[in-house]
Amino acid sequence: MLRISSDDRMSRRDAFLLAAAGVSASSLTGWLPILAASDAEPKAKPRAKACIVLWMDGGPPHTDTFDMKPDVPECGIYKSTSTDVPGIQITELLPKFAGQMKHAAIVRGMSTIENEHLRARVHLRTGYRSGQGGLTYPSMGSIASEAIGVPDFPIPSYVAISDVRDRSHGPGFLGPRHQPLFVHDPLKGVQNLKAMVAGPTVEGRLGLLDELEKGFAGEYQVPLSHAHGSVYDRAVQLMRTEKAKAFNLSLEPMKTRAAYGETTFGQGCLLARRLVETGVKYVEVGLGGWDTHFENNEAVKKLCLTLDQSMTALVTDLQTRGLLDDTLVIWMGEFGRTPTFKNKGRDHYAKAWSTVFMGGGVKGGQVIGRTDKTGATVAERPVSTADFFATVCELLGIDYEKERDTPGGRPLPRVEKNGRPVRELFA
Amino acid sequence: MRCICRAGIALLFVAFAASTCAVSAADPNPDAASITRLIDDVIQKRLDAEKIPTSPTTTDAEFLRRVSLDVAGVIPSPDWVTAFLDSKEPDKRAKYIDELLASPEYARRMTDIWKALLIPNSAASARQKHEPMVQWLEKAFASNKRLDALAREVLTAEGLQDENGAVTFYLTHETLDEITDRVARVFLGVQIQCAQCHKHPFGDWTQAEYWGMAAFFTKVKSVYVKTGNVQRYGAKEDSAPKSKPLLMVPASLKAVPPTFLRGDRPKLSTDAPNLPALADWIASPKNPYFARAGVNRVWHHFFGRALVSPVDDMTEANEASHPELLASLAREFSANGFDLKHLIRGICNSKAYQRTSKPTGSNATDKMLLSHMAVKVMTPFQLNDSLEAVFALAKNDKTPPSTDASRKTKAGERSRFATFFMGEADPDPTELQAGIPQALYMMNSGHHYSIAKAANETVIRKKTPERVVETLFLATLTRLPTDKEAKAMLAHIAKATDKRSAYQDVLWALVNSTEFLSNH
Repeated sequence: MLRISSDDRMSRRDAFLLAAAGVSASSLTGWLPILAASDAEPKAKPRAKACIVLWMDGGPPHTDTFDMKPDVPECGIYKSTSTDVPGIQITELLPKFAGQMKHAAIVRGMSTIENEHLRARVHLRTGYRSGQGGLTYPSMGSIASEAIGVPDFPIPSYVAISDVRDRSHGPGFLGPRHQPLFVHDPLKGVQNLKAMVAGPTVEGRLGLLDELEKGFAGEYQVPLSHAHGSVYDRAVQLMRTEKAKAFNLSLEPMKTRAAYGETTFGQGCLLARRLVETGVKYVEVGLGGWDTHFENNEAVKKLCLTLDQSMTALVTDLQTRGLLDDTLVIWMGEFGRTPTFKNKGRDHYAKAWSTVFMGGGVKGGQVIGRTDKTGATVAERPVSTADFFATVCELLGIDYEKERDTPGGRPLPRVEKNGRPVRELFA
Repeated sequence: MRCICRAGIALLFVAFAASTCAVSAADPNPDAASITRLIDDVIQKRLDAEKIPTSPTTTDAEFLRRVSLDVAGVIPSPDWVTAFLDSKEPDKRAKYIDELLASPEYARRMTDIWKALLIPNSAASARQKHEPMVQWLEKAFASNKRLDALAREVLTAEGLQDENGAVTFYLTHETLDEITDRVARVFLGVQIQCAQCHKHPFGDWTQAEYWGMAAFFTKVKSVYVKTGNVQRYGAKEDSAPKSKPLLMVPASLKAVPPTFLRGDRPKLSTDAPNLPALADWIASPKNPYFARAGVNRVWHHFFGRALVSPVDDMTEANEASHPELLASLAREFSANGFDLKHLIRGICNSKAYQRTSKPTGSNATDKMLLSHMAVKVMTPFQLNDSLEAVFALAKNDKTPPSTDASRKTKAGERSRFATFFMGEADPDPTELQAGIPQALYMMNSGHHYSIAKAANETVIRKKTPERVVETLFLATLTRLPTDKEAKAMLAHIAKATDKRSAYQDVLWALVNSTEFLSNH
């Protein structure tokens, strides 16, 4: 094993990946079943087997969605509406979803610390702060892939359906094995799955490639070899599996496709359901455009129209298929927005905002926490980023206190030490 | 790529003398030896102090591949590799560097880099034409426009887009904060965006400094001209209060008069433009940020790791790997009038740049002190152009010459390819951005036919299996196969019933390898 010098001449991450490359050099490009290290997990009993995150990129305004303040004019122009759960009100812009409140728990006390998009995305996707301790942290999807992913499952355990892609999605120090598979357009799915030559020829080609890879990896000793090998390994697995048809939305009845909405987000939600059904553990579906510094009201109205149809379709479809009890669905952004307006826009706001939990392991039909009467601060049951991550981990049966060796050799818990699950959420 | 790929050999060796003269004419000071010395002295001293051994100098083949990719953005053709390896000229490396710097491919490579820095990758930007900026940048880099002049012309760009491509900079930005962040990152090497809402958590920028910088851009207005059915767009500074600003003002705006970062406030009249003053301050030899940011950016592209990393976050908390080198190079860069070619020439001739990337046992863990070169990953543009260079093997007497239409198609394909392979913005040059979709594309896409044609044509031209395999290795990896590799490839061909298909397999494996994808 490689020793890491204490003066950090090599980035810790590189050293770690290099070590990983060395360890697995025999199956570098492999085309063999991957001998991924499988920990003795899970310790915690999983309440849900898979997770779908509906990521509202840009930061949705809580006082226009799930934390309405109808008596405070500055908080927004939209009215609230009753739901199928007596006493719980949400925005009038989500009338369909109002009928599904029995499955949903609103956390109104999110209180986090990053107010800028990139930093907040890292914070709310990884649970740690960008740049903290000189490490690149794994996203929740990568953590799920590592902890509950089935090592030789032919589809990546973590799929991100999104047209925005940045570092916060990545596997960080967990390495390329736990990278998400990005799907930019759900209608296209994953393309180029079929080889242009016959099966035996593919085998021959991969054999030649393996020959070349061994030489380069030995001489240059770079993490790149390992990363490339891992990506190709997984691509070849995907070419070979029948399960890849999960990416093909044209196999769905037209009626179902229409129910989810003819939008990228809607079709992304449908794809998420197909993937979870087939055994994928973690799917993120992005709906962008929530950065409403300008013309907040019009933008939110339009976005909610898309959201209402697709999120409602997803929850009802999962339920009809008996998948909802095993599938955790989370609605969230990287932060909320100011409960007051400047001109016609709302700014970034991390101090008080909302997330919604549905499905697997969640006791629906409840609201947890409360903001003050103007929606500006959390008055009751604040939930920090670490608490949020501990909650997601616990629901998925992932031991959130488990420490892993980071590239510098320093053990680090999956979730920051002070994180505690929001147990009131659990069914 | 025209001159580099096929006709390269003639151009390179016959025209060596002539081209060196041409370079001298365009550049009064081609001797970048002082920069080279500066780099090697500082780096060696530090390695000695830390008792880290250096890896040996690159072989000619390694050097050729690296410098071609770094300066011209494309791998060399097999003929060219052979000619370079055979040449006995003692200063062939230095001459080759000059040759590359004078090539049109240099301007294209720099344009690829700077277009990505100056134009946001956003939905709003995608609705605008980018081509005028591409052409403007290519012209700028071809004439070796100094970086201060480039910055000044971009920052003060006005007029119609089809008359001044630089104006694309303003047209592709949507908001005031977006442009403020970009100018700070690209021209000053600092990230101040967090200060938009509150004091920066790590850097020490204040909100007043942030909005002071942003205030310079508030007079940029859109220009719209309609003649008949032709609509033309542009930008211009205009202080008339009723004219609509081009850049949207975020709600978090704090009203602060135009102020340079760190506090100085220029005397500006309300009805005069702001941006000339900002451009003068930014692109001044006295600006403490500009030269450092420029040097750090170039270093980042050539060494795969900036002297201060991340490349655009040069705060005091973020220490340089070689602080004194950064300071001296910034001084030199500024003293030489922000001449990019001069700086690049100095870097490429250094021992540090010309060291192999193969570690020598005990220096393997060093990633910062330059005991050996970093292995970079080809950028999407480098990958596209290098694949094109490989597929040029298929060209023969019957290949029709390229036309305007075919060049346009190629440019479109190039841009689509790059978009598909593009990872995160401003990525770490040593990190693989490609994921499963890109690997599937490389393995199974329409490249199939290009690979087949290139392999088939090589077989016709080179006759023996040994020579074909050698040519395929030279064309892709810029080196001959090792004995072991040659044996494996030839065995594969020998046992195949369909020989043509077997050669295609070899080329397929080569272009899908980590080594092909890497700039080592």
